Amino acid sequence: MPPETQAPLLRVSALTKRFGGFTALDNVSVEIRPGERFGLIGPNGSGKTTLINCISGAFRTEPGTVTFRDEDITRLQPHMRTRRGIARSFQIPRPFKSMTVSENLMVALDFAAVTDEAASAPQRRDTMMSILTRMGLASKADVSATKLSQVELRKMELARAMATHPKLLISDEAMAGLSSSEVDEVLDLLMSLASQDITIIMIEHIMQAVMRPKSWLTSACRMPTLALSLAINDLDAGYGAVKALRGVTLHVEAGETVALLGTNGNGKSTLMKCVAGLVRPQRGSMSLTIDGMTHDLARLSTEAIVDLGVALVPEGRRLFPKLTVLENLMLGAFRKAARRNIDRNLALAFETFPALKGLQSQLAGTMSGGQQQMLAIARALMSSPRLLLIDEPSVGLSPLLVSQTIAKIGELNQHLGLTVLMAEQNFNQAIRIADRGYIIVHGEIVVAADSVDELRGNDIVKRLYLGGIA
Amino acid sequence: MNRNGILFWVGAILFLVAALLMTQVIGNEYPFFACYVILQFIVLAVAWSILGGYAGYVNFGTSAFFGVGVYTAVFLFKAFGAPLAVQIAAAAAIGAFLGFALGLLTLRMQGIYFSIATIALTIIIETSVTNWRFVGGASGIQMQRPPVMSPFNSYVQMLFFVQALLVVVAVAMARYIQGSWVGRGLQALKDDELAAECTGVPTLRLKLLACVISGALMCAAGAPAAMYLQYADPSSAFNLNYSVSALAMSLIGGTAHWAGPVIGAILLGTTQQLLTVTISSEVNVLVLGVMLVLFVVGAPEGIIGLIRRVRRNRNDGEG
Amino acid sequence: MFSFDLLRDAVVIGVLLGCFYAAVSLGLSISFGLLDVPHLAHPAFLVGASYGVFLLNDRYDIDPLLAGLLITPLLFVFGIAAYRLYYETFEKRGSDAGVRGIAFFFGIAFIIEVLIILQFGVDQRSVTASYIGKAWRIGDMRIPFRLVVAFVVAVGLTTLLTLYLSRTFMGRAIRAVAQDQEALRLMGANPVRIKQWAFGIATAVLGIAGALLIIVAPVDATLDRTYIGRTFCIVVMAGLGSMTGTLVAAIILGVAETIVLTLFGASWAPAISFAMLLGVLAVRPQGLFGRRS
Repeated sequence: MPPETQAPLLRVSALTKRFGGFTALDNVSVEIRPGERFGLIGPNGSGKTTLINCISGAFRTEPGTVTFRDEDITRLQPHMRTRRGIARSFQIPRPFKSMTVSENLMVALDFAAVTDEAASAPQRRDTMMSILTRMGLASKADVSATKLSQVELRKMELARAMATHPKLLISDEAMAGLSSSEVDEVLDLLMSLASQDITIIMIEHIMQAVMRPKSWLTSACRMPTLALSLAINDLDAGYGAVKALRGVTLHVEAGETVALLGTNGNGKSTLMKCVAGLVRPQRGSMSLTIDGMTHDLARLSTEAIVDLGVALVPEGRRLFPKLTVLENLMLGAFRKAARRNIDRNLALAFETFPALKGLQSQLAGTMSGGQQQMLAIARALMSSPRLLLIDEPSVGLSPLLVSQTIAKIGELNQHLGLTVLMAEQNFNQAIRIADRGYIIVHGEIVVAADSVDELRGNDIVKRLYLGGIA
Repeated sequence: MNRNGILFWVGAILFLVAALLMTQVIGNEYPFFACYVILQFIVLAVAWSILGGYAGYVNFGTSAFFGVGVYTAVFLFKAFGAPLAVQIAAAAAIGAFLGFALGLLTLRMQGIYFSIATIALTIIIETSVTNWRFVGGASGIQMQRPPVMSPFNSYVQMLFFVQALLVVVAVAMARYIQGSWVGRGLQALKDDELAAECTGVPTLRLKLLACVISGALMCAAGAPAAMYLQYADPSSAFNLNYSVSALAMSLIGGTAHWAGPVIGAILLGTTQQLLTVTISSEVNVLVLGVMLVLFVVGAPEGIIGLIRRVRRNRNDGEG
Repeated sequence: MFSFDLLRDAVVIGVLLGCFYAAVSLGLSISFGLLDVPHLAHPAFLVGASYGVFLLNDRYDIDPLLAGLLITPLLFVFGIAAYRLYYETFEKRGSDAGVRGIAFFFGIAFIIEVLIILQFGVDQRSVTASYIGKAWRIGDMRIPFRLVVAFVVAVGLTTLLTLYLSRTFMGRAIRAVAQDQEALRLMGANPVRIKQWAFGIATAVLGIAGALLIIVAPVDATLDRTYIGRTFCIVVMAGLGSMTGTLVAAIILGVAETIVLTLFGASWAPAISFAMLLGVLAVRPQGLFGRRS
């Protein structure tokens, strides 16, 4: 029977998980059918791991239900869910350190493998060895878990999950931190497992895994970008007697790329600085609604705004020239939540901008313009932002580099679900990735378009930008 | 039963036979006093290790369980004239219940909070018993030994043999747990509780089981002590030294194997007896503390660990 | 006998006593609350310090508070050394450190207790000073002067520590170090050194605290066992790491103990702190002022 016509194996309905005032999952519903290879994609902090924790039982959820094979498992403890056939591997491997590889698997076979309960000890040992052989770990059977390499730990994590004889296997970022060939190794393993009637949910942000031949993933779901909304109303701001912004009204919604277009000196940078808390508005309001709570940005310090998940890539890059690329990146992770994710964000930064990896120990001041722009964006990514403000990314770059940079920003929005507000003077490049746009002239919004087509068709735009050549 | 099992039980039976012979052959009571204390510590250390060694939850409340065992015996004897066997059985039952209650209350807490909670429980129970007039309150109570049954000539000899029986029971239980799925599950949850839970190990249930068995054994070990001393008072029945000793003997002996606490108890118990008699009881505690610290710092796997290391080196050398 | 006068007296004494309890718990708020060290030997250090004060007072007639001040630098150095040992042996190696770390401090506590007995015997010791033995009369209340002294010193100590932890760079670093060592390294600070320093301070504070201990009541070697309950109860109730929280929690404990003492007698007093501790752990483990991690 093709997967689509079967009853769902796992159904998550209206799942909500709150930690105090913070909503990690908001009314999430997912259905997974038997035999699917399901990819779960989303930016840091979008709740992928929280969702997995709720499915595997590590977290309690209220409200919402989790149904597995037509049984409501919402109130069950993790070990009971494992016995019913849900297995998971952890983002950071959690081996039983006092045991050998085979002993690790035996725990699974002793406690979770319900179908094998009648099997005798020697039979279970045989099962264990066959799993190890399939995973390529047979030679390490009697090696202590503390002596395994990173990729071997990942494999053992998967092997142990397999030893519970699951019907549903959840792999939580099993590729993080692995080299390209190691990623291939683990991917091949997962693919071979999938062909055995095991349904797989795969969480990844490694592009290589997600982009593999189409035949691999049968369906994917982007974690709904959590509610985020920036609303600016009638904003006035200036420097002394000079008014840079007059009555600016604009809004940005979750998942959008919004372009703020205009030539220099028209107030784009001032607006960005206002949002980031560097410049205080004189009139009007700025509010950011995130995870159900509304924050008045005009009253918050820049640190607080960064904490909320807003990162600014400033005009002119503003790197620390005497520090290395790596040091610049590390400083980008000043925020507490960011520090917890520092390794993952670093991996993400290097994956998004592969050229930076080889430049790690180079002084930022000695890099070319294009490299510096990449570093500036990567540094902003280190704080796990949900809203990315980019001020004039094209300045000082050759046309080819501009094109590449814009494409990269588009990627960030598409693959990571980042909401982007971009100030640009290069109209043609900006509209390649924008969903909507505003035109600002002398501090006033003169055009507020709901789509790129609307922008292109606008008379003012045609007048300003050389006849609006698309 | 496999070869190891047969060896063990043969050894256990020989041990009991030897103990019985001792009571028939040796007339002087003193060796029995001394050996009784050591056997008692073996039971306490083995019982402690079931929760502390296998599961990794450091219980400072051994004194509480021991004291409850003592006072259960006191109460039953004073109220009903109950025989020793009933005292011990009742103590074990109450110990199991207490262990269960303690587990339910505290096992959701992390490491050190569990440990502090066990200290708290000890003090609270001690304070409550101190205020209980029926069993003598703070001033304690005198006990009269009932006439001794044959084949024993003196009551102390009988108590000695009873404690030997308890040792066999305790060690057999520890050995069974260690070799069974219970032991593996406990080891897994000691290493990583969340991973264990997600691998199918029912962690809360196993922890409660360990608490129940551990508590029952500790209480059972305390019951004969009332008759042994012919006197019971809260400050000595609930003496914190029992907690430290059980912990130290297990850690020094090594918690990975059931033989560890046995070795630790024999070693330290004997040392304690010698020191208390020759020098002073304070020096005894000092030595206990120093040895605990030394082993925890230098030989974390205890004597068992040292033996294993020597064996491994020898094998590596030969191989 | 229940009377409002008695209750009022109990509350007043309880508040003063509570402040004294706060003074002896502040060090633990730092070492256990902020640094996550399972410092079961803290009360033993406290009692040891009070014996040091006794020594100076007995032999050289030095005022106890002054004596406490004098031994403070010694205690600071001792604290740094103790932490170094703990770190090298346990924190560095990770994993099984939990059980062994707890056992380690437990053993140290016992060793200190026994050493005190060997040196000073089992009798209770007390100090003499001009303010011990006198009492203040306010209305028809009789407040022992030494409790007032303890109160004043305790409040001063709490204020000092709170200011230090919030206003100085080192203080802020101490508050941050248990949360995120990586980030501190980014700022050019060495986390191990900071923890060392903090542990030194936590131990140094015991100089004054030890003096207060022996001023308020005579001490004996096994006193640390009662104070394990009190200090940990206060620190946990306060929410780990909050100095003002420690003060408030300590006052609550002091008042509770005094009221129970007045109404039910002394034999139930030791259990109060432990019962409250169990209650807090069961109901609100993050304490009154703490945030859930």
